[in-house]
Amino acid sequence: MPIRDHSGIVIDKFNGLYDRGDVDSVPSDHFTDCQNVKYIATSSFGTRDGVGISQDVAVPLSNVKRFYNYPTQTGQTLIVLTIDGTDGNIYHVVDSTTVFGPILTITGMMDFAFIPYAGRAYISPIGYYTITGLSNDTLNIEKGLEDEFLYVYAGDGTPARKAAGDPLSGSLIIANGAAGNTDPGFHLFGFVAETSSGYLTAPGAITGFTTSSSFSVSFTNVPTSGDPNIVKRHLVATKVITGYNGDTLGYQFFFVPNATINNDTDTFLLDISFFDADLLEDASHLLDNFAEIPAGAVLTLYHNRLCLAATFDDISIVLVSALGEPEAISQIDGLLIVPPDGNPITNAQELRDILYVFKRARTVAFVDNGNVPSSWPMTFIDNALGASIHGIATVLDSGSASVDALIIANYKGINLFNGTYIAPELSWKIQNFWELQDRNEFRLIQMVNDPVTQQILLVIPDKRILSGNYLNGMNAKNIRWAPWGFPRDINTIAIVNISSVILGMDLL
Amino acid sequence: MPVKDFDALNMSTTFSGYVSGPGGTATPVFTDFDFGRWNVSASDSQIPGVICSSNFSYEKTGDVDFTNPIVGIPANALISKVEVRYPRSTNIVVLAGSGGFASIFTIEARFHDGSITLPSNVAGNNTYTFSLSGSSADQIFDYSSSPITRAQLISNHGTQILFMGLSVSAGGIAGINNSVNYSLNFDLGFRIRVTYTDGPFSWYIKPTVKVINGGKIRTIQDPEDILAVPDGDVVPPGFEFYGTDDDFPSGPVFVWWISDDFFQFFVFSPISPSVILGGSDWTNFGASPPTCAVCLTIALGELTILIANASGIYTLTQGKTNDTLYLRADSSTFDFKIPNPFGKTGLVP
Repeated sequence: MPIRDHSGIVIDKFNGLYDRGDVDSVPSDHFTDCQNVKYIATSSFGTRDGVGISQDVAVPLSNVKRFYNYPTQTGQTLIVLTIDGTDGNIYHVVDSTTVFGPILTITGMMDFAFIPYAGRAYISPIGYYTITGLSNDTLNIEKGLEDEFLYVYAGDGTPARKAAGDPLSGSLIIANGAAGNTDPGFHLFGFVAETSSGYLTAPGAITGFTTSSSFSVSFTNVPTSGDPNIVKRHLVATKVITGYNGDTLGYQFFFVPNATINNDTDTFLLDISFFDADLLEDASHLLDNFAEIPAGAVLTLYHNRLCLAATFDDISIVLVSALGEPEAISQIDGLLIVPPDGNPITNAQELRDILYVFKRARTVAFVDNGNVPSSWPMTFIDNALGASIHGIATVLDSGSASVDALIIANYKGINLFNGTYIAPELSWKIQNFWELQDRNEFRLIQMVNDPVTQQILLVIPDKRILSGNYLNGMNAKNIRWAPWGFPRDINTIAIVNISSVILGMDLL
Repeated sequence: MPVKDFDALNMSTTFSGYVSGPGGTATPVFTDFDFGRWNVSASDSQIPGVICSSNFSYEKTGDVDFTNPIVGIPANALISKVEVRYPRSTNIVVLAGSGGFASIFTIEARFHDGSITLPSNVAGNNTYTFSLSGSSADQIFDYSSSPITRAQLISNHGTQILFMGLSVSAGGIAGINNSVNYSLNFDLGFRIRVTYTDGPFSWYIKPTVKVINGGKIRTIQDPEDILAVPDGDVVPPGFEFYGTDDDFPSGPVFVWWISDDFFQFFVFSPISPSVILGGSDWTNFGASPPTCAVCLTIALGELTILIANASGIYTLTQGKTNDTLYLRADSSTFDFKIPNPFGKTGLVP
């Protein structure tokens, strides 16, 4: 009933959830509480869109814990982790009717890190662990699963295999070949195996031989690996060694031009001629590479290098591969070290040519100086704010940056990051809501950014979705928040095919 | 396909039953009020020792039919939890309406795990309220570590889920055990049933009996078997006779009989009392099978079955107005209502 001299309040805009401070401070055009609403155009709202099944198969995947968008040469696919008892199984979901796998099964795998590279998938199993604080409280942390490794999946349904690989073993039988030419003198020879993913093992089967100037060199008894993933073997050699001391690994090896066995079956390579001056491409660095790369909790790419961080034994180290060789990680100089503080590295992301590395409450930056990774300078960016393990929004179906900024979830809230954390945070209006989320479960946060529909969607620790619509502007004032609940808990989220949002539902 | 409330994924429902009022003929049945979950069949058993006429006598055991794949649990569903929740406590209100006299209530309520007998033979034509607290604990069967199939569910839980029982005898007088001459007086339109106790089971006959009313002998015509009984004859043990307004003048009615047998004697008021069961947990009104004079709906408990596995990969679909979920593993899907969308402003409505 109208009251004289009082005019009604007209609400013609709905600017989303406002959950900060006392409820009396909620602006009239905001919700004090809401659920399952989506914002339409600039001022309206309606019921959120429904979900439909994504797989049209007799036995769809179940107990889905994590998935990532996996762009392959031929389409947008998903790489999916399901849990079966204590076993983590990884599947490759190609489309609604095609599922490969499990391509990898590992006991104790609770989560996994993933990065696509050249159509292949690099997968690192994650284990969930705890640390005890000074006040005897328990903090959840995530790091690479103990005694596990980085895996590579070819994308074709064949099982994933351990990345990198062991060198060949055995001894060569070397003799002068047909008439040819070499620099006469003592050389060490060996073979480097190449995997289907292009990884080059360390030189193996190293054997000494004194060449003669007028003859080529022939090799028999060349070892085979027996590994179906080995597709080639390359001859490597030192230059002439004077005063050989018997240390087979103490000399510099080079690839011998035009000396490759293009299979893993032949045991001979005959009549190879070369001069020491032809030995230009170094192979010695392969001796320093990991034959098995320990699993980590973080995978990212930076300057065409694969970066892996938070292994079980070294939670503050980033392993960085050689340029263009994601499985070639030097144990000597392929390392970045974030000052240890008891907390593991949780995330890493390139932005504007800088590699940002995050812990739960710390952010540092590394810059590629053109030298080996261990020489890259580090800069502290923020000693209070970091990122959760999946807390950097992926943009559409690739990458992480949009509009030259990252969207990062951390204890403070959801932040825009362009080299510094922009204040106020995007989630300023829902500070109470954010603080109610269980900090120990921030590992559940996974975020996507859809610039097409202009919304951020993230799985929050209570296993709902939090929607942030930024049609009115991506800033703390204009973003419109709304939590979405579903009949089952949500574990994971991804975007494929430009703007199709995929959700993974839990058992309960 | 109907769209269900999302809670239905838990297959949670409240089972309720109808109970008929005086003279009602409706058979109490379990009714699944929430469409599309499962069928429930039930057996109705009368609590021994309580005579039904204008009474409520009610005990339920429920056999849950999980087998219908359309409205029930899919054949290949995996079930991770079964919860049977019983009424914890309730307030029961018994109201005797006007017209009855010598109204006596005998009330017995039973939870699934035992019987609780309430004060019996509560006399009066007014409202009687009491509280009933169940000692029953919920039964929760947790199969989350090893979900069971529907067949196993049926094997484990498909029969004899006893939710509760309740009986109320109202509008009569206490049973009298007698083996000697006895007399009572009644108002008009009485009805008497005598249960013969010397036989293998209860039975009665309907002869014409001798009634002395104010010194006059009146013969009551049985509509089915007119049998003149000489004045002063012995009434056969085990009988029922009726009086109507036409048969009896105003004033008390006296009945004599002689028997050396042991029998019970129940007299019921000709005017049906109103018996209302009210309660916070298990009783409500509103459902009325058409054959019932007085119908009550009594919630018998809640059975929750958690379907183990709707987990999977889903796509958020623009413009879709419901959620469609997998239900393992027969490839079936179910549509569910989007859970409770709302937006609330800080303004007082």
